[in-house]
Amino acid sequence: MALDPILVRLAEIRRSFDASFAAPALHHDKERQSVLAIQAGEGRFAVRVEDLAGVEACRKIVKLPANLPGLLGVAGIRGRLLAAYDLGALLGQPSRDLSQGSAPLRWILVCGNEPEVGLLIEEIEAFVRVAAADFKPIDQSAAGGHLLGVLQHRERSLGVVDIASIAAAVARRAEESVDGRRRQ
Amino acid sequence: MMDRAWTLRRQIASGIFLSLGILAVLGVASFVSVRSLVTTNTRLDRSRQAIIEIERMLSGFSAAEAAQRAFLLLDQDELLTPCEAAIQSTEQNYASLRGLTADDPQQQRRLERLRPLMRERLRELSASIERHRREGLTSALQSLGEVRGRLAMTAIKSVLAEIDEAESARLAELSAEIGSIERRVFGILLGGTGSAVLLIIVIGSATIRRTNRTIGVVVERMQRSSVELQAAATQQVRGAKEQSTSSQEVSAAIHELLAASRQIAERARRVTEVATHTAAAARTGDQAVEKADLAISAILHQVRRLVSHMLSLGRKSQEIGAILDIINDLTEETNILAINATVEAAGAGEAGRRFSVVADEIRKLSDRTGVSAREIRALIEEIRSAANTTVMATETGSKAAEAGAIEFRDVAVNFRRIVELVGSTAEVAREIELSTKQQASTVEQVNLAIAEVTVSAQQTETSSNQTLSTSSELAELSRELASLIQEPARA
Repeated sequence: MALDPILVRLAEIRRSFDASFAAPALHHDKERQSVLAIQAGEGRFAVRVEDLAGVEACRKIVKLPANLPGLLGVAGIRGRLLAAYDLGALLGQPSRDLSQGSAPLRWILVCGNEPEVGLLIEEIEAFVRVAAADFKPIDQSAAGGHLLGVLQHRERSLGVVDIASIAAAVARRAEESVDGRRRQ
Repeated sequence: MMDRAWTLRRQIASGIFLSLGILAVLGVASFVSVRSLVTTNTRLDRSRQAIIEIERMLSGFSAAEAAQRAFLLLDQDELLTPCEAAIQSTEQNYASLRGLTADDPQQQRRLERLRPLMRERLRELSASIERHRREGLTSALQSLGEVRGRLAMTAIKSVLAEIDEAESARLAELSAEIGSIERRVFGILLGGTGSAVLLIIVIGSATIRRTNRTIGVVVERMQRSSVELQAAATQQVRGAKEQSTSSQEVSAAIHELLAASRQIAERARRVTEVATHTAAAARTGDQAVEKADLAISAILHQVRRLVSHMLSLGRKSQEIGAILDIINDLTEETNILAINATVEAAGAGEAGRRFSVVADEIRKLSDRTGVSAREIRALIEEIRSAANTTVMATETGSKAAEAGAIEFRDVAVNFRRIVELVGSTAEVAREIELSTKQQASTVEQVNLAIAEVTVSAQQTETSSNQTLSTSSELAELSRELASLIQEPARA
């Protein structure tokens, strides 16, 4: 392997890194929203940052003897316990099968309105800022009714996940489950 | 049987020796007779001489007496000279007579008696002469008449007569003896010669008959042998011609063989040159093989070092990858922190906007760092992949090099074996060249020998022709000799 292409690429990286410091300071654009392009299950989606309470790396998940759809267990995040749900499963993606080469769940999106609920995803592909005009309306029946619209990103259409809807649905199922056990 | 036992030479020699023996006996008898005749004749001459000497003595005494008387009568001294000469000759005659009769004792005794008488007579003569001179003629004449002188003279004559008579008798006896000897000699000569001639004729005839018979047998055998020799010579001529022809054919074949041997020798020399050059090239190649072996060993060593370095590079790449994982994790953590900062800034409302900008910068930096880390990872992966590929290729190359080294050692061993074989081939080629040269030399010698054989065959042919001619002549000569021998038999 010749060293020249490597040196050229390293020089480009170095130049890009140095150029980033030479670029003018950014101004916060109020018209634009911060969005995370993620992979959940087999699908690519987008999540608005303002809908989140934080993003954490996925640690050890302790399974629970519960049979709630998408519930993987509980995870300890900075001294708090979160109910860990598989976002892909909640969005109606096919069930995961790690033996078939499914990507591991690496990240936990902590819901903004339900800080006790964490949504596990495979990958955070990008952090983008998009304008409101970039959001397109979508059929509400898709993805279990948890999508706010469609975002065009890098020539792909990403469904914008409604985190609040997801968190509400999870909370509702959990209450239903609790109620059901109480009734039993 | 004697004819067979005695050779012709012995027969002729026997005849000749027998004839010579007869002639020798005849010669010896003749010699003895002639010698006896000569001796007797000598004795006869001596007797005659003795008689002559007696006569001379008598004459001397007579002459002395005559001279004495003449001196006495004439008284002249010169008349005494004959007297003195007579006296002197008488002494000489006596001595001669004594010598001539030395072999006869009786005659010697007579001469002994004669000697005093002679001296007495001579003394008387001298005394009368002296008396004449002293006393004169008369006294001298008286002395002449003395009896004593005459008696002495008579006695002298008497003794001389006895001697003469004895000599005469002896002379007669010797003459008779000579006649007897002469007859015997004649008898020997005539009888012996005739007998010898007859005996020689007999022996010669017998020898001639035997020789004739022997030669006849030999001639007959020689005729048969000549015929056989002629036939053999004819066959020998044919054989010599065939031998000459065969020798010429063999000579031609040997000549071709010699040319072929020379060609083989020349080719063997070329083969030797090529083998020598090949051996030199093989030795050079062997040196090159040794150098290549060393080079391959060095390459193998370098390949092993390269594999070791590449494995080390792979390990270093893995370590770098681990570090990049950490960097990536840190980048992701930073990114997450930036995202969380953004979330927190969004939660802070208007006060958090500036913080949001900073978080965005941090996130972008984290993104670029992540991108760079991914690119570095990609590069590292490429390097690792390339290193792994290189390691695999190098290990494959190392194994191939080891296998090649082993194969090359086998090749080197085989090449050294080839070098040895080429050397052996050169040696063998050199030996073949020497053997071929010796063979060519031997063939040349054979060629020379065959040429000599050809010449010898031609000479044999010539000599066979001569033998045939000679045998023919010999047969003709034997026939002529047979005709010469058989001719008297027909007569």
